[in-house]
Order: sequence, then structure tokens, then C-alpha cells
Amino acid sequence: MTAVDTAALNTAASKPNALLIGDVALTSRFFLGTALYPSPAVLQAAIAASNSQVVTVGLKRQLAQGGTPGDFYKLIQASGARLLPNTAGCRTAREAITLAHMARELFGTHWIKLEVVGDEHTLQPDPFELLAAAAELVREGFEVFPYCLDDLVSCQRLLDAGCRILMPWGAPIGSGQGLINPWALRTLRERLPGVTLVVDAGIGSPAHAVQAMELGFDAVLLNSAVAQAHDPVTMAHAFRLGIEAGRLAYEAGIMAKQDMAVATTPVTGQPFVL
Amino acid sequence: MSIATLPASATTTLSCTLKITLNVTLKVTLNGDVHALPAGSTLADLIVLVGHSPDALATAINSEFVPRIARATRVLLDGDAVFTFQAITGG
Repeated sequence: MTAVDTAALNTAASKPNALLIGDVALTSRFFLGTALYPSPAVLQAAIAASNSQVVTVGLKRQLAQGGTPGDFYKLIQASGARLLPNTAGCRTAREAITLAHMARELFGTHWIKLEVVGDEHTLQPDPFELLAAAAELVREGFEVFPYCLDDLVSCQRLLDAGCRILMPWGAPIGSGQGLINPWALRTLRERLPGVTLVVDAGIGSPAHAVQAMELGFDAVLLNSAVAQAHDPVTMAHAFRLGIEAGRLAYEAGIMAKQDMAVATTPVTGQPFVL
Repeated sequence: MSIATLPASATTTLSCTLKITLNVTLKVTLNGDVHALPAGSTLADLIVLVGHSPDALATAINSEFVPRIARATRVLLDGDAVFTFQAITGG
């Protein structure tokens, strides 16, 4: 009988492999948004509960009357998580590039979540403006995390432009619909095996995150599903567990589906029939 | 002796200093609000004038990013549209 090292199973073996982004190794595959929380204190507690090592932040044009930045930035810095600034609100490549420059200065990072939206109702990424912005920013030394469509060819073009990470949408931002086109996401995973893929947007429940991770996605980025939960801190923890479970399942190898039953108990035919 | 009394044949060099003080101002917008500033004002001057913390914002003029290090040398021109951006939460 082979002895099972349960201690090992409960430590190293039960942890998903690290995710490498450039020269940065992440042990958490949960990227968390920081918007829409009921209070800074809840945001802080949710980040802690999520165990996230990457959190997204944004930039906003100041009001004419001025106004001072809140203390959220210091609070987020205190969490120790890496910052991933976004270019939310941009409609053209030029706008997104300018905002990326600002973000690099303000947040002190060359990571940028590149958003260029092409439709007001669905907030669908504009693949053409996105590609133009990505190509320029990669040339300038940014690590570009493009929020993109789940379309294989446009994703390949982003890779051609030098992106090393792709963040296809699961569903429209804030919709909570889950993965509306699993086939497209599965196709991306199969056709782009060496690329870091992150499902971004549309996740509504931990089950959706598990599904994405079981498809072989490297990480999940979400915001509203945690921030707008009745209890954001507990929901952050639930997502953490789901993402870890989904990744472990993917690494362990999920059995192939069968159309018909396959008996599990190793009997020989019927018990009393020769 | 006045100029009028100079003989027609006289060769004279006249010099004088003309001091003209003009209160030249320029008008720029900051996040949509109009501000009047002395000519020669820089972007850094404007940021100080309105009381913003220079390190807590990023700046653009006419939609072009102006790095923090260039604010003190970027002279504002009449009609410039200045925007400042601050860090916020985001998804």
C-alpha cells in the first residue's frame, strides 16, 4: 500500500502552479477590481479575503471644482497588491495611449489594462482601435493587458503586435452573465496554448470563474460580482476558493465526457448471470 | 534745446527709453473652467495656483500628455485646454 503524504497534499501540492507575467510570479490567479464597493474598509477587507495579488485601478478627469483624491490609493498600496491601471472610458487609440502615459506616471507601473470600447450599449471592445493602441504601447515598453473580444483572429493580431497576455471578455462588463460563448474561449485556449489568457468581465458567480479556470484560463479578472454582493468580503473569499479549485482541476486533468454510462464498480457482467 | 530748434544742417543722435507696461494675460481652461494668467505662466504655475497637489495628478494639454517633469517648462498659450487626472478605483 502506498503511503499518502497528506501533509504535502495540504500544502504545496494543493496550491495551483504560479502564474508568470513577464518576470513576475503570481501565486494568486484572481485579479480583483476595486470599484463599486460600499466603503473603503469593505474594499480593503475584500482584497485581503480574495488573496489577490493584482488589483485594477483607474483614472478620472478632475472636476472643475477640484476635489481631492480619496485615501483609497494609500489603502490599496497598503494591501501589497500590484496595480493594474485601466484605460476605461476611452473610445479611440489616441485617447487610450494618452491615458496609459498618465497611468504610468501616476501609478508607477508599466502594466496597463488596455480598454478601448466600440459600443456604448455592450461596452464591447473595438478590435481595430485596440490593436492600434496595443501596438504603440508595446513599442513604448508597456506590458499590455488588452481587454479584447473572444475572437481568435483579432487575438492573434494582438499577439502579433507584441502582447503577451490576452483578456477576452466572458460577457459584457458588469452583466454577470458568465461565459456566454464557451466555445470561443475553449478555442482560444486550444489554439493559443502558450499565451497567458485571462477572462475579464461578465463573471457573475464563482461557478462562472470555476468554468473559466477549468477551461484552462490562467486567471480571472472581476469586480462587480464581488463589490455588489450582499457581503463582498465573503464573496471575495468564495471566488478565491472557486478559482483555486478550477485551476487545480485543470492541472489535475478533467475526465473526458462520455455519451453513455460507464460502470464504475468492477463487477463482471451481472452478479448471478454466467 | 528742443528738437524744433535744431538747425536743419545739424547732425544729432537722439536716444530715449520708451517703457511700456502691458498687463498681458492669457486665458486657458482647466477641466473646463476658464482661468486668466499672466503671460509666460507655465503648467506648473497653474497647478500651484489652483491648489492641486502636483504629485497626485497627471496632466494633459489639448489632449496631449505632459509629463510631470515638463510642467515647469511648458509655457501656457492662450486658449490651451488643460486637463488633470487623478487616481480612482476601477475595474
